[in-house]
Amino acid sequence: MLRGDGIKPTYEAVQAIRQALGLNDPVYMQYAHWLLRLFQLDLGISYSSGRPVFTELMSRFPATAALTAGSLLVALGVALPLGIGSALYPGSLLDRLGRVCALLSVSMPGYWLSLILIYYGGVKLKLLPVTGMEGPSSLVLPSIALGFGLAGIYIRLIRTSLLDILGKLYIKAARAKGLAGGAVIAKHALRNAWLPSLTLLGIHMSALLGGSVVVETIFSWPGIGKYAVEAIFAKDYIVIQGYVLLMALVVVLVNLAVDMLHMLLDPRIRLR
Amino acid sequence: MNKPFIRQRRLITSLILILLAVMLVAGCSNKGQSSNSINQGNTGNDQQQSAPSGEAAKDQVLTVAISADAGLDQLDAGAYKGSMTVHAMIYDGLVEYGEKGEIKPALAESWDISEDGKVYTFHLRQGVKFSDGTPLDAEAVKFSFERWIKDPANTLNVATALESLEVVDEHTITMTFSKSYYPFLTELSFARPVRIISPSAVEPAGDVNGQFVSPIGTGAWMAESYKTEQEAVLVANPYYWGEKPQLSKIVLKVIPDPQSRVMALQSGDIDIAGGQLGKIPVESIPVIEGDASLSLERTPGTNSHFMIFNYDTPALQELNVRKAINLAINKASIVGDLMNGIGSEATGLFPTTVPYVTESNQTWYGFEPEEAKRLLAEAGYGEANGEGVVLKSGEPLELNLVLQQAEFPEWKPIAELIQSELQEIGIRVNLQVLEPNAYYDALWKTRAYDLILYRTYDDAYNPHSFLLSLFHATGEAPAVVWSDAKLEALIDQAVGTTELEERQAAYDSIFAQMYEQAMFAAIYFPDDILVRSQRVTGYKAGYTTFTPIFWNQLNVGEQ
Repeated sequence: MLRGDGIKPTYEAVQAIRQALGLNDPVYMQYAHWLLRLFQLDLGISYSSGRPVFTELMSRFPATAALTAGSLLVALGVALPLGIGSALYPGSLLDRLGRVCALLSVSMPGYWLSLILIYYGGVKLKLLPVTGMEGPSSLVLPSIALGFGLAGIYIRLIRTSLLDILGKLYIKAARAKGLAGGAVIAKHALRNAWLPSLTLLGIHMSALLGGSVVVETIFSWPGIGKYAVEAIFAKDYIVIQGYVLLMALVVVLVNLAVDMLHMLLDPRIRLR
Repeated sequence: MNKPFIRQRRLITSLILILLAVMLVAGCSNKGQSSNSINQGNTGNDQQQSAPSGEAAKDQVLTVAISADAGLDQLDAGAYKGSMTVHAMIYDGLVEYGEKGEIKPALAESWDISEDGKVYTFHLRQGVKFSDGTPLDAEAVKFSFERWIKDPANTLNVATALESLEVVDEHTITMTFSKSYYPFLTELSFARPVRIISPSAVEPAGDVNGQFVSPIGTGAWMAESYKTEQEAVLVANPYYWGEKPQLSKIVLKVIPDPQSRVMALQSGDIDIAGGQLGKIPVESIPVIEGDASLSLERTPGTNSHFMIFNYDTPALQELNVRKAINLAINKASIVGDLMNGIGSEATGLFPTTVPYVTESNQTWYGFEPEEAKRLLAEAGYGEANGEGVVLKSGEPLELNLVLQQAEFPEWKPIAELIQSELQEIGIRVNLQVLEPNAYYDALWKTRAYDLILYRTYDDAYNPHSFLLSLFHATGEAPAVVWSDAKLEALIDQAVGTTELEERQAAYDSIFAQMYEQAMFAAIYFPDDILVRSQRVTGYKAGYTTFTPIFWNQLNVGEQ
């Protein structure tokens, strides 16, 4: 904000900037100004970049949303077949593969997986772009890096909840009345088994929409997480305020969506 | 099922659909939103995609990695925003900073300085045009200065000491200052805010208080397109007055992670990385040296890393203790073992790449732990206690060493080495690693340290500006590093004189004083490391951090 990192600001420079930022006003005035501007979707001007925070957040949020969609797709794409398969055929090869995948997924650090992916995908095989956001192919590596880390939890969760439900009496009843195996799984078992995963998906979605600093930094992804963390280190309170406000909104909206999906899937909630 | 329930269900379904649709739109629209063209003012290049002069086959495009956004849309010549490197590529100053601080002509072809060192007359180069075709004249220079010079946040001496700025004729301008200060010309070579911007770059055009619109300078490069946090594209300025660049386009790509920069070099995504553009990690050097497609360029830097002694700490007020600490630090081991040989042992405050610093005026303490122990004993530090810490009047000699890792990760191992070496001579050092804000608070405001690692400023700020802000009282605040009335007088003498010999003599005494009084502990001089792909030819290192390479001489061939 002043002359750059590590250079000593002078007293006159500090005073000039305090005045320009309105920091010499009383606190209640500053708060009133902030509220008033908020209603005009004006979140203020970033101390460090000098750009409006609202535009900055809005220009980064889509990149983060795309990464969220990509990584949830990867997480579910890995977890659904492995989770369902290992519940249906416990002890089989598929089940063991599921266990190994889950273990790897939860124990591999994200930054390490990211660097390995870049090294093999980008440097050795030259299949995919290493950095930046240049079309759909750029989304592949960071989505795998983020999504694979989540997959393990879903593999285990889907497996346990499906096994639990397969032991329930109403499944036995459905089988006893002669329903085909596939129909029992799809209509009766899976529909109930979704619910815990759906709750978790909501939590993960909010978290991912908050941005991931590590993956964004390594893949040079222009997302919101790195922006927020840099603001924290730069004490850029205007940006931090805006970010917190946006995240609160995201969490509320995602939770609302998850609750409504629950209502749709689970008649017990609906009829209460 | 009853009717209200069906209605409720429909409502819920449609709400979910809307939500999903919103997310889908948000997810897909990223490309369009974050890209914005900023070349409104540029003639002949209105279309972002149009290749210059249609010579697609001859296009020479260089891709450079930068660690942080270039901020091309707010790259006002008179503001401290965006990348300094890009400032220096788009805008020219009146003068240029050459090897070891030699001031060379740029937009000013020549200049005269009055006897008393207060009046500077600049004769502008004729026939120079800005990248939009606007001619450069004395009025444009006056306009550029007037835009920022009154802002109290600008504390350069050319701003604070300026009394008047007069246009003599179309190509002559004079600046009258209130004092004689030799580094005025050095300040005019900075990347910002002193460089010259076109009057057509603001809205309304030519208005000193106008709003900045687009970066239009006289430099070899001009802005073509920009995507926040992603890339900035520069193309050759058709009106450039100097040596025409070989390249037609330079793409500055944001890659924040150092390891990713190395991998992007290896994959061929980028051609050049390193230096102040975005550091290359020391641990990646073997990988780069082993890669036949890359080459490593090392240039001795202009800054130095050293350790400040707090003059408020009673133990450090004793000369023998300060000398002993200096003698106990093995600088050769720091450079050789910790820095992989990238750099050299410090021989004083500044390396010889800095003006007025010569081989002959630099002397510093070597690695002599036995002598250090003797000096401590002489200072009255007697027998060590059970933990090997020397005591004076029953008090152990214990110091805290403050450092930060965020900007300089190498400081942690260096501090650990210093800690163990000082333990050898009986001084206990407690390390305190702080986050950057807390670190700078300790350094500038609270002085809550006994020892603190710091570095000198870069290139053009050395030596005068660094000495003035760290070894000299500023306003009511006492000096930061070391407060010594005699040294301050010498600094004032050095910067105030127009006589070169007198100035050199003053600097010689400054450096001698620093050595005699052991005012700090010198540590090491880092090298600037830059990595380029083998297909880049014509590489020549620049003299400042904001011009790390002579861009105009670069060429890219087939790999």
